[in-house]
Amino acid sequence: MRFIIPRMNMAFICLFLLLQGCKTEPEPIHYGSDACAVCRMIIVDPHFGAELITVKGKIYKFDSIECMVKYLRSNSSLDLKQDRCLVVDHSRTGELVDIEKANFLFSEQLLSPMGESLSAFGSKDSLNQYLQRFGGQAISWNELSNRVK
Amino acid sequence: MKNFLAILFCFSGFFSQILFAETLVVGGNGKFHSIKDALVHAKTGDEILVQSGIYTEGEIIIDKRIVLKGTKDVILDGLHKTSIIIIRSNGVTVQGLTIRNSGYSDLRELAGIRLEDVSRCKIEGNYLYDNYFGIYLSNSQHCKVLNNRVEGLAKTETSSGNGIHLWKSEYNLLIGNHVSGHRDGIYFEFVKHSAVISNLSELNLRYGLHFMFSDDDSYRFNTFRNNGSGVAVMYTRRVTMDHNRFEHNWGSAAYGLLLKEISYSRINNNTFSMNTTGLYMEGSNQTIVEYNDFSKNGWGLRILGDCFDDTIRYNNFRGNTFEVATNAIRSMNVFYSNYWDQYRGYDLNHDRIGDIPYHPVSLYSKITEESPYTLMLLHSFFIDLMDQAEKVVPTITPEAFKDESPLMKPLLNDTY
Repeated sequence: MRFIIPRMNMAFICLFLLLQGCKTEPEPIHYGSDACAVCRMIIVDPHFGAELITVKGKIYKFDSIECMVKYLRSNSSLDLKQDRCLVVDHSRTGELVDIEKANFLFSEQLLSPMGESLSAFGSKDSLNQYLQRFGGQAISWNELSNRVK
Repeated sequence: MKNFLAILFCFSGFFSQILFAETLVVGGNGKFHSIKDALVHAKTGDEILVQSGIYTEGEIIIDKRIVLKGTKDVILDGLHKTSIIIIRSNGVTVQGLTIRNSGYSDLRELAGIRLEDVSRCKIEGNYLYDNYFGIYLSNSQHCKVLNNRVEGLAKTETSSGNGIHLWKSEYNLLIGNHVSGHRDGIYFEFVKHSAVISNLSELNLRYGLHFMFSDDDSYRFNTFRNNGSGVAVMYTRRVTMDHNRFEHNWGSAAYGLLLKEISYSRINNNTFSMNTTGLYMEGSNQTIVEYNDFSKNGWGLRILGDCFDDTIRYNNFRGNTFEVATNAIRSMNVFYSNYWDQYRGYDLNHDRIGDIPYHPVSLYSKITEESPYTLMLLHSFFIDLMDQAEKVVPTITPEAFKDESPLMKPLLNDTY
């Protein structure tokens, strides 16, 4: 009995590690060296950026939200319900948030890399701060993806 | 007679402005001690002549049509806090100044010289040193940026701006500038009908020239050298790029020239020399690439499967490791009458055109396109053997990728 418990523990640990390995965690964007998967530009502005993690665990990085929208649109084979989409919080440079939790702002004062003036925020408060300071309008994910040509 | 008087009247008005334009002297033995003070007293058409000295006046906002001119050694220092000159009036000339140490901001695009919603301004012969952005044109038309030296001290791409940056502007001319040490040397976004001529852009962290959504522009006689990732141009129609040099751009993501979704354009008489990839084309169509020299590149030309209706003719390919690489199976582009130095054909009827077509895509380049790690085997005996075997009996390389009339001798292209 004394030997069984540690063995069971080991089994649990192994199982745990195995399950861990199945899920890919977001990878930080390396500004200045990573290239955008759509427009091929080297990603440099840490206020902007986006990342897509597919069900299979492949990571695509983008220099802006608009590039990610373009990518999602042109790759219909991707399962949007299971793929994980993240965007960079404009107020906290380089930090990624899930699109379900993100708030989006359209403001012509905030020039995003591909010229659509879109930025994302992790919290409503920080969005409102930028909204007051730079003007524009808060928009939903659907409105945002319609906006991208 | 009436007409004559009318004309005379018009001219008198014109001359009076010149005759009564004053020169306000700042510094030295001049009347004014600061440029800002002189600006307050200046009238439209006046000239402010600044004598040598260091001026630390923060943001100088020019909102009158004046000429701001420096004699020798006039230094405007922003002390790393603000923008230095902001132009908000049409027809302003800024000439012969040294402008240095603008501030750096995460939120605002501070610049050495910033033009906001103006037209017919001239920025000539200035020396800009260690600014966040060098010269920034925002929503400005018919401006000239001539013979400036823009030098940045950029260390990381995220903390530096562009040398000459144009945004939403039309009909501008950039001639004879030398830009180095910035993020992108020359950057255009939504810029139409503008010309970039005889500039040198080197040692920038990211791109020597970078433009997006900028239709109907032309780029001639420029040199783009030693930039982090070369030159990138994207999402643009009707571009003319001729007589430029794209050279010494090495790195895994470096291109002499990267074309992404460029259409109805012409790329002619350019030199692509010593780049990882000379010319990279993705999603480009209806573009003519002719009379260019591709020499000593890793890849001369990389053309992806989503390019169509492009014409590649009369180019010289010399000393490239791979002449053409592609991921496409069939070619929707036309290749003819190029000179390929790896061509091993013959010319029995002496018409200077090879008698058998040439397939510029080698088997090995096809393999490296799919798995880049195989580059390790470059120049190995096995690879050479495989390439020769493939040339004799093509099986994997795209049959349609061929030059039906390869030239036996290189062309004397009039490149810059």
